[in-house]
Amino acid sequence: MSVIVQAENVSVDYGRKNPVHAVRNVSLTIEENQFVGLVGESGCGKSTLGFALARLERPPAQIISGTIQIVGQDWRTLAAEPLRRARWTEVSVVLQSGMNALNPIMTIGAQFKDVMEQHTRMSPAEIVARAETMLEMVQIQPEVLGRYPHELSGGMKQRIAIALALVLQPKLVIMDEPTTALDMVVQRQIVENLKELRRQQAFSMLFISHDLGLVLELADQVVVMYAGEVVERQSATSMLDHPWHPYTRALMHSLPDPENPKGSYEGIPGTPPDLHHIPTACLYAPRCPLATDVCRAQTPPLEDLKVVDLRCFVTREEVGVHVGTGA
Amino acid sequence: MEYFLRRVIFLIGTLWVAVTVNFFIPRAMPGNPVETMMARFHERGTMSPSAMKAITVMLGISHGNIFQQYGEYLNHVVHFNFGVSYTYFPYSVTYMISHALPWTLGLVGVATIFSFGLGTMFGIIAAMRRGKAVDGSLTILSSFTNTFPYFWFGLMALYFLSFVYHWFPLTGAYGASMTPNLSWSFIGSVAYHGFLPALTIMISSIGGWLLGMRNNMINALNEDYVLLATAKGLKPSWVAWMYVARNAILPNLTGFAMALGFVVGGSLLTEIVFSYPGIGYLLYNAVVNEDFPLMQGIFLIIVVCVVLANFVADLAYVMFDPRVRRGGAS
Repeated sequence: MSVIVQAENVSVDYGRKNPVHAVRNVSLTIEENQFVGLVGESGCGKSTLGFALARLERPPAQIISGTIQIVGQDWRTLAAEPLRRARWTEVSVVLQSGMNALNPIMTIGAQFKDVMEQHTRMSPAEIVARAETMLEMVQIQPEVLGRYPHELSGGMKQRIAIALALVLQPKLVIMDEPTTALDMVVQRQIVENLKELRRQQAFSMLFISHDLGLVLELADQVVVMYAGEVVERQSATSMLDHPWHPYTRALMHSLPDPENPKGSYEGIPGTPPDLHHIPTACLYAPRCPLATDVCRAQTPPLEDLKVVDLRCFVTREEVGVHVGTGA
Repeated sequence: MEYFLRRVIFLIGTLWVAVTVNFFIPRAMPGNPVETMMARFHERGTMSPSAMKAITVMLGISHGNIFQQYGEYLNHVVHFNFGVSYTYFPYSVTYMISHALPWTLGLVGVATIFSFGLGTMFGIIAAMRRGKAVDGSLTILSSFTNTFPYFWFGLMALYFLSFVYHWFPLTGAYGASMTPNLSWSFIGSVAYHGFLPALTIMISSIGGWLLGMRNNMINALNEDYVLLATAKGLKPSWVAWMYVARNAILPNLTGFAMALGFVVGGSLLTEIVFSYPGIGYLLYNAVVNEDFPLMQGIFLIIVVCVVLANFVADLAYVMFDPRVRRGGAS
């Protein structure tokens, strides 16, 4: 499998004076046709990272270091015009609030048309046909092309946004909380839609969400972020069996169990740290039930432990035992 | 269609209220035109009661009660008959207005359109280059011109450019030796005479359009659909126009239509400063001379134009904003 995205040590700051170090030294690899889920609570830097990878960071956010290789080009150093031409043909995005992601004064058709006109040499008839095919893929009537965004429901708009993201057959689609603003029923439709789309068209995806359950269902690989850093990375199937980082475990426990609706699920006590000053310690230690003196005195590295990439002094021992016994 | 019908009914209702208010307001003012006229004649000698009566009849002042007067007034308004001007006797009000209106429409209308066009354009430029030197200088300059009194600017321009340096004429709308016609030399003279007053109006109003447009643009730039447009790799000029400016201009359109309505009212102080023979200057003279028919005529024209401009703005808005289009029809 070829690599679509190879990001190395990406750091993003907000502001210049007294900056917030929102994302620190994150490396991320996305392979062809791979769905990568990025989870964490609000403010952990997951969206900031996603936008930085697509070079959509807005001031005061700025990428201060790292490389972002996407299909062989370094997007961090790419000039404006080549970057513009690479956008959407290689990387497209779906935003959290599909409602506001469509231009209110243009018809849906016009918003499909402009992107195809400016990136391809398709004829007007081909453009319409392509737009209709895309809408069909997300189960929307082709008549909608003549409508304006305010005439459509939130779920429809979000499905249109997804169809729009796939129209040029990009290598990677970055989805930033695409279902967060929708109710559970519509959310389910969208998830089923995405699974179906994956069978019809080959593309990689970076799925950003705070909903670990959703990510475990959709993604091949799950990356858990906490306070601007990756704390755990492993395949979705093995994470379901063995979440290693105490934070991932806490996220798991905060999910309701459908087989035991009255069973206990817990929140995570405390709040994430202030990212103006990064202490020399495990950033999760103040909220961690397993924290030891080492955790409060040293910064744990992200270690490749074969079955998992993990940033924890305590549970890394458990991984060792787990791998050693071959369980 | 139903939207259009509702707008038309609303328009007619507004016009009726305006016409009625226009009837009562001058009558609520103290003073009496005959006494004013007599006072003027008194300076040259006394006047007999029969002469007073003659003036009353001549001016067509009705002696019916207020309701009869109102009925008569409505009838006259429908026929564009606003009576005889007291000040410019024997000219009718309609004659006076029709001779002042073209000058005002030309001067203030052109100045307003230019000011809106340029202000909006510079607002777009400033917003697209926000934080840069262009933006800073445009914003500071327009905040400054927006706050200083325009008649003061007019007076300064008149004093230095016309009086001291003789680069521009001091008064009037065209050369004193010319008669209005459609020759190039006459049009040239009109442009020459209109330049300073138009500049005064533009300088005082362009900043407002610029700042308004810049603010709307900056709000629109933060919208998700603009972020998505960037992500789509659309050409920057296309994004700036179709995604940002087209959305940002909507609130300004209403303001522009209102401004076009007020064009007819003239630019009172500008016309006075430059002795420009427009509606503003005429209105000033009417008020000074307690010329009720002329005042009423001018007020009526202004009100009708503002109401019509509003109506047109509503219709134009429908064309530019699809949300109003279908929303209003349902």
